[in-house]
Amino acid sequence: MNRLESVMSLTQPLCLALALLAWTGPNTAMAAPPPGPALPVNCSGDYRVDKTLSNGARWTLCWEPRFLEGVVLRDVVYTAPQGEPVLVLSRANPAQIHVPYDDNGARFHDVSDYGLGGPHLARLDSADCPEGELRSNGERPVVCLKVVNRGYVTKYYTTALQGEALRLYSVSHVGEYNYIYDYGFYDDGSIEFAVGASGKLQIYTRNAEKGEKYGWPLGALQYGVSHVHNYYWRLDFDLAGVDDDQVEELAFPPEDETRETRIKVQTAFTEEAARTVEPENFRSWRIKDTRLTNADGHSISYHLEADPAHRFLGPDYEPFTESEVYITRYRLCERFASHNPSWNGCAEDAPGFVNGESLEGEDLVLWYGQAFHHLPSDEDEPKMHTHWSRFYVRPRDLNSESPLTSSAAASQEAHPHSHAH
Amino acid sequence: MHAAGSRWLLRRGGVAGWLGACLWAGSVLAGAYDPLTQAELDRAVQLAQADQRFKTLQARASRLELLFVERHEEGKSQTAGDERPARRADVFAYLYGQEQTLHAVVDLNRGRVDQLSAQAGVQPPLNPAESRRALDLALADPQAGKVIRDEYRAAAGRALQSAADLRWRALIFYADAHPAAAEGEASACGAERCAQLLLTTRDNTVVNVMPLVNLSRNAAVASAPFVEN
Repeated sequence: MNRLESVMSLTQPLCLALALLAWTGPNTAMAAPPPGPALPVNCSGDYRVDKTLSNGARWTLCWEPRFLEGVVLRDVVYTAPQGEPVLVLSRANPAQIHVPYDDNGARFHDVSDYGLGGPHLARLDSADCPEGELRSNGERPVVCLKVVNRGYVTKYYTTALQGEALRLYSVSHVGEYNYIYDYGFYDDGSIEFAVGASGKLQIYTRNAEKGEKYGWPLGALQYGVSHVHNYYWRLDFDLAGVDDDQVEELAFPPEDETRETRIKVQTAFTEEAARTVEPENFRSWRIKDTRLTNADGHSISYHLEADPAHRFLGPDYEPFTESEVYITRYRLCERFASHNPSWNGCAEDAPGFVNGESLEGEDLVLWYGQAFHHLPSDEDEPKMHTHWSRFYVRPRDLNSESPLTSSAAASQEAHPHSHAH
Repeated sequence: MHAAGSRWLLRRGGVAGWLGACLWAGSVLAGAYDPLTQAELDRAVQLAQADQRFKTLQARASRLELLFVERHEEGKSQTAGDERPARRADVFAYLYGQEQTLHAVVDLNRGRVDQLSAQAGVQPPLNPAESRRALDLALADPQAGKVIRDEYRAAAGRALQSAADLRWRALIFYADAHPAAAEGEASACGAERCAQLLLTTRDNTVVNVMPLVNLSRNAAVASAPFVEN
């Protein structure tokens, strides 16, 4: 232990005695532990986040800066207004940024081969976090926390309910790129996962033939080479605890060749699986608890609604690009979707993690990948405008009715069925 | 960390804050997920370096590069609100000559190395010294050095004087991640330790070449795929 910790631990009994003697009630309330049911708190100081939003929704979590992953979120717990705390995620973090260039001039795997943390996790200052709260790793501010107005929760005739979200972001620089990892924790229990690609373009060519084929003309005599950012996430959902979770796929194919009707198809995964997006059938996934239900008797779950604009399928030697979703059994050594360190025979990529193991009664991890094809433009110079790739996971049947609009409906709607306009 | 939190409480609440800080610091001292302090990191390296297994591996290697040290992530069941959470460190080093990465798990509470192993084919990111060595090798190479100087002139409008004119970042390069680039000494990259350099001028203009360097063989690879015509 360092000297400060030694002193603090030695003086703890004395401090405790003095604190009890000095206790005067409300004036020392800010020194008391936060209210609510006690949950194990596995982090301290700046690494601990505990925010209650204006409508009473509360998010608690820990963040940890790690050398390769950058900022890792842990023990993410949502408490709805008047609700009970629900563990949503045990761990969430970037699991790779794969950047292949259209001319095959480079194929980067930034998280594993460079690292988003350590010296690459940017020092932030007030310009990075206006009206927010900087959180530090030691002496280095690296995370910004802020509560933002996020627009309508709901709108219904004369009902207008505005909402808030807690945002937590950090920046990692990889060469010319600055990646902003920005998490949104909404008052309704939704979580937004966003990556912003910013900074400057990494690769140019002066070769006109190559530039016309693989890029876009920029500035004087140069072309920016087009490329893809494949962002992978490792989402260790432990909905209301490690046990009894299951991943289910939802799809809505046409019932027959007339395509006049569509049927709901639900597939629960009993074995590890790799799945692709399928927008034409509105394919999505949810993590449900097989034991816990809401007051209506419906299984509680969180829903990942994939909404891909781009999809990247790479060469044979990039098999991890074949699927957007991987559902695996929890294994600590399985960290990155590609270039996973193969310590003690751990598999090298996400397809390798999927090896037929049963998921029944097991601790699950969900992996998700999103692609963005970047066609450079003149607006990318002298510095790029940030481009965001994002997705959401939302509560599905976490509560038997909306924890936000139910109280709003009671207070704001006098005549719910009369439409005056 | 917790020290910063204590100062926050002191600023906000004066004496009451200090008392609260003492109480709180004692009960939440070094949460299980809190990063290791600099003192803990230093101690982890000392303990690892003093281990006989470490010394044996170091003696066999032509060069040992300390890569990074961080909190060892424990299995999920082992972090369930422990009163005195584990404080263990991962120490990573590269053993040139043997072409293996060394991994030690150091228990800081007990002052001992719990496990220490070395394995081929695992390539953690390059440390600053390795990145610099890659640049120096590339600049010194007749072919790669010439391309760098030509591209620097195109980007900066003047001749390259020295490495001080450049900003450089280096990523690990694996041959099987980019077969088209994996020529010559680069074909062994992955099994051997290789760098791919990203270069800009000091005023952040990209230099249009990404040299590959095999650090295990102290050789720059001809950067043919990246040469501008």
